[in-house]
Amino acid sequence: MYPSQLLKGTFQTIILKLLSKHNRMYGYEICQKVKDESQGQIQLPEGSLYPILHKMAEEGLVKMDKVNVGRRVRRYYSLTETGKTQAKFKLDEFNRFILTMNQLLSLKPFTK
Amino acid sequence: MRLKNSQIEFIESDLRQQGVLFDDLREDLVDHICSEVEQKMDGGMTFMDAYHLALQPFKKKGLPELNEDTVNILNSFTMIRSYVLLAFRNISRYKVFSAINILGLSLGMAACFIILQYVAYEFSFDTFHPSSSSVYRITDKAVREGGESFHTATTFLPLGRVASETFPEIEDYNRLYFLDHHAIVSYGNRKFEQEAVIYADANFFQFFSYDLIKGNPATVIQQLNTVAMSESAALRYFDNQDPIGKIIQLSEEFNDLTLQVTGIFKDPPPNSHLRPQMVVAMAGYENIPDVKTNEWRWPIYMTYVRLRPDANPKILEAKLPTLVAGFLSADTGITHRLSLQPLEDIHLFSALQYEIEPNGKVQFVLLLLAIAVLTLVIAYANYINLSTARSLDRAKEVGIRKTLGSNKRTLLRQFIAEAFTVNFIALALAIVLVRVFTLLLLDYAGISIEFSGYNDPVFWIGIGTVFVAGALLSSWYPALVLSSFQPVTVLRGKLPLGMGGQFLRRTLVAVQFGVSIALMIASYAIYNQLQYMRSQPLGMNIDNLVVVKGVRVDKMQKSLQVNDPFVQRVTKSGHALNASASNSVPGTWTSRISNIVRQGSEEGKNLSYNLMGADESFIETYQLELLAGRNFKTSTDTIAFSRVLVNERAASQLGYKSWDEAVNSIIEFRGRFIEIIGVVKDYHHYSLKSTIDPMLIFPIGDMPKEFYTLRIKSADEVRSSLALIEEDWKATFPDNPFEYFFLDSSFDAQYKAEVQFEKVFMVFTVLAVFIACLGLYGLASFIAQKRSKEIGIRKILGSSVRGILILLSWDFMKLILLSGIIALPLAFVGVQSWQSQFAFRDSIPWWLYLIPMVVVLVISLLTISVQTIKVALINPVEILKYD
Repeated sequence: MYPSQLLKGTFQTIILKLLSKHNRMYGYEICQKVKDESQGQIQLPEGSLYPILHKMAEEGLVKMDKVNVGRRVRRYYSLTETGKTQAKFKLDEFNRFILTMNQLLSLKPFTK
Repeated sequence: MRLKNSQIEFIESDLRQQGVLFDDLREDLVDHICSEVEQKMDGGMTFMDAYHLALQPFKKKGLPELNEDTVNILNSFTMIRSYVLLAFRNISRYKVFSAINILGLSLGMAACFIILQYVAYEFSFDTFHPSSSSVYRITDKAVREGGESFHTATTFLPLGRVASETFPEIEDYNRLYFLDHHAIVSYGNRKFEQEAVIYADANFFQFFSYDLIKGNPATVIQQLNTVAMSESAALRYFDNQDPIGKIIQLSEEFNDLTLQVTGIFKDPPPNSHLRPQMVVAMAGYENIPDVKTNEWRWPIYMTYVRLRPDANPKILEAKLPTLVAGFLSADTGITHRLSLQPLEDIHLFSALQYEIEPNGKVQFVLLLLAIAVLTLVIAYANYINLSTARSLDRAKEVGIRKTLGSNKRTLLRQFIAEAFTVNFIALALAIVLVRVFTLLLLDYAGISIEFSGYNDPVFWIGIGTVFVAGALLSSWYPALVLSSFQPVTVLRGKLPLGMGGQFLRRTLVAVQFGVSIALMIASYAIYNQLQYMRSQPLGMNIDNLVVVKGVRVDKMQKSLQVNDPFVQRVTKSGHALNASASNSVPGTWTSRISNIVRQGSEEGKNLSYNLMGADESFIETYQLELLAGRNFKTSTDTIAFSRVLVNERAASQLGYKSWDEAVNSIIEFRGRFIEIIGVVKDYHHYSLKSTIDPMLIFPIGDMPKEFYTLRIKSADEVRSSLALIEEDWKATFPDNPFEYFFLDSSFDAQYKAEVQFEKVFMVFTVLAVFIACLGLYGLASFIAQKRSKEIGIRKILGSSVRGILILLSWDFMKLILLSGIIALPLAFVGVQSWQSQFAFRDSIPWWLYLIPMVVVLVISLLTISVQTIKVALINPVEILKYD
C-alpha cells in the first residue's frame, strides 16, 4: 500500500478515469474497483471519497441518479460532458507529470 | 446476503445520531456501509461486528467532520438548503410548539405591518409634489393685548405678493381661498352641490403638481372667470362630452359666477391636505373694491411660498413681522405673528383655525407606532422564550454532538437557519393576514387610507428589515444558549430547569404580561372616560333635534328677515315641535370677543366670551333653563347686540354676585351699551373635552342664520317628519339644497378621535393578551412535561392534582404579580396624563386598576392548568416505568 500523501492529489483523476470507463458507479463500487484494479495497492479512503464526489457534482463534473435498492437508496455517479473532457485533460496532465517526474528524479526510463 | 429493513433503519438512525445530518451524504454512507456489512456477514460475521468494522474507516476522521467537510464544499445555496431542510424537520417534529411559535409571531408581525402601512401613509402626505420640501405655508397668529391668541392657517391676501417682491429667497408663491361650504353649480338646467371648490392664483398648476390632463398649466386659469375641474367632477356634469369650453354657473355665499371650463385635472391623491375638485381663477379678485379695502383686515387666504434651495426659512420667518407691520393698522390692539410651516408638516403637525380639513395628529400616529413595536416585542419575546425553553429538550442532542466534536459554528448556523425558517413561515402567514385584516381593522377603527402597500418598495423594505432584524435578534440568544451547553453536564442528565436563560425567560414573561396589563388598564380608562363624557347631563336636550344648514343662495335675502320665513312656516305647519334659527349650534364654533366690561369699569377687559346669535325660540328648542330675567322677544329685542342673555359663567366672570344682580344691568363693548336681560343655566356648547366657557347670546335678528334647529316629534317618525320639513324648506328656499344632520350624532362626533383611539387600543390589547397567553401555554406545557417525572413521584407520595397545580403555577403567578406591580404605576401615570386633556374627567377608583391584573392572572392560570392538569392526571406508573 502506498502512503496516502503520495496519493492525495490523484483521487479525482482516478475517479474520473474509472467513471469514463464504467459509465455509472456507486461509491462502494468505486472503492472496490480501485482496490481490485490496483491489486490492493491503492485504497481510496472512505472519508475522502464522498466529499470529493459531492464536490465534483457541485462543479458539474459528475451527475447523480438515485436508484432504490430494497429499503435503501443507491446513488449512482456518472460523468457529464464537462466531466468527460476533464477526464481526458486530467489523464494527459498526469501523464506529463509522470514524465516530468521521471526526468526530474532521474528515474530509470519507464519502458524496459 | 441482504440486510433486513430493520438493520438498514438501525444504520440510518445511528449515522444520524452520530452527526451525519446532511441527507445526501447519509444516503451515500448508508448504501456504502450496508454493502460492506453484507459482504462481511457473507464471510460469517455477526451484524453488529460487521457494522462496527465497516464504520471504522469513516471514524478515522470523525463522522461529524465528514459531514461538515461535505457540507462546506457545497456552494452556499446547497448549504443553506441543507440547513433549511434540517430546520423544517425540527419544526415538524415539534408540531404544537412550532405552531404556537409561528402563530404568535405572525400575529405580531401582521399587526405591526398593518400599523406601519398606516404610519407610512400618514407621513406621505403632500410629498408627491416634486418640490414639496421647499414649500411653506405662511400662518398667522393674531395675539390680543390680553395675551389671547388666534392662530390661523390663513393670512392676508397681499402677503404672498408683497413678500415675494421683497425677499429674493422666495422663488414663487400661490394664494388660494378655500370655500368651506358646498357651492351650487348649475349646467344647463341641472344643479349640483359641489364641495372642495377653491379660488387660486393663476400659477396653481405650476406651483403644485396636480396632474393637469387638459389645458396648459401656465395659462389654464389665467383668464377671469375660468375654471379647471377634476375628472370626476367633469364626468358628473358633462358625462362623456368634452368639458373644455363648457359654461357653468357657480353660486356660493359671496359670489355668483359664470365660468368657462378651461382645464381638467386628475383627481388629487388622497394623501394631500388640499384636494380640490374645482379650481376657479382668482384673476382680478384683488381689485374688487370690497376686497381691496379689506385686504389687510381679512386673514382668510392660504398663502404658500416656495423658497430657493439655498434659502433659510428661519431667517426669512424672522423678517416677516417687519414686512407686515407697515400695512397693518396698529389701533386694533392685535399683533400678527407670521410663521412658515413646511408643506409636508401640515397634515400631521398642524391644528390651526381655518384648516382645509381636520388634520391628523402626530401623537396618535406615534402612539400607534409604539403599540406596533410593543406587539412585535411581545411576539419575539414569545419566540425567544419558547426556543430557549425547547433548548432543554434538545440539550441532549447538542451534548452528544458536541462530544462528537461538532463545532460551535455549525450548531450556531443551524439554529439561525431554524430561526430564519420559522420567521419566514411566520412572515408569509403575516402577509396573508395583513391582506385579509388591513381593510377590516382600519374600517373598524374608522381610519381611511388608500392602500398601495404591495406596490410600494418602502413597504417591502420595511418588511424585509423587520424580518432580518427580528430573525437575527430572536435567534442569536437561543442559539448561543444552546451551543454553549457543557456536554458533560447535559449528558449526566443533570440539566437544571433554570438552564437555558431562566433569567431572560422570566424577564420576557414579565414584560409580556406587564405590557398586557398596562394595555388593559389603558383600554378600560379610555372606555370609562368616553362613557363618562357621553353620559353626563349636558344642560340641554339634544335628542330628536335635526339641524338644517342655512341658505347658501338667497338673492331675495329672505333669510335675513327678522321673522325668519322658514321658522315661521315650520312652526305654523306643525311639522316640527320647535324651530329655532341661530348662527351656531352645540358642537360647532362660535365667535369669540373680548373687551366686554361692566358699565364704567375697565376690569376684565382682556377676558373673552363666546358669542352666539339666536332667535327667541332657541331656549325652548334646546330646553335650556332660564335662571333669572327673561328671554328675547322678536318684536322688541331685535336690534342686534343691544340686549343679551348670558350664561352663569359669563355672569360670574363679569363679577355679578347673583343672577338677579346681573339681570337688567348694563355692560359695555367698545363704547356700546348692552343690557343683560336674562341668565341661562350653563350648558355644554362643546364636548366635555373642554370647559364651559362664558357665553353671550344675542338676538340674531336680521343677521345671517347658519343653522335651523328643529325638534321632531318622536324618533319613530323621523322619516316622515323629515320629508314634510323638506317640503317646507323647498317651499321657502327653492334654490337651496336641504342639508341636515342629527344633533345628537354630530355632537357625539366631537369624540371621534377618542372613539378611534379606544377601538385601536381594544384590538391591540386583545391581541397582546392573546399572544402572551399563547406563549405562556407553550411554556407551561413544556415545563409540565419536563417535570412530569417529578409530578409522578409527588403523586405517589400523596400530592393531590390541586397541590401539583399550585406548585407549578406559583412560579408564573409570582412573575405576573411582579409584572403587575411594575405595570400598575406606569399605567396610572399614562392614564392620568392622557386624561388631563379633558376638562371633565372621571377618576377611576384604585381597585379598578387591580382588575386587569386579576383578569390576566385568571387567564394565565387557566392556560397553565390545561397543560398541568393533563400531566398531573396521568397515572404516575405511565411516566415512571420508563426509568
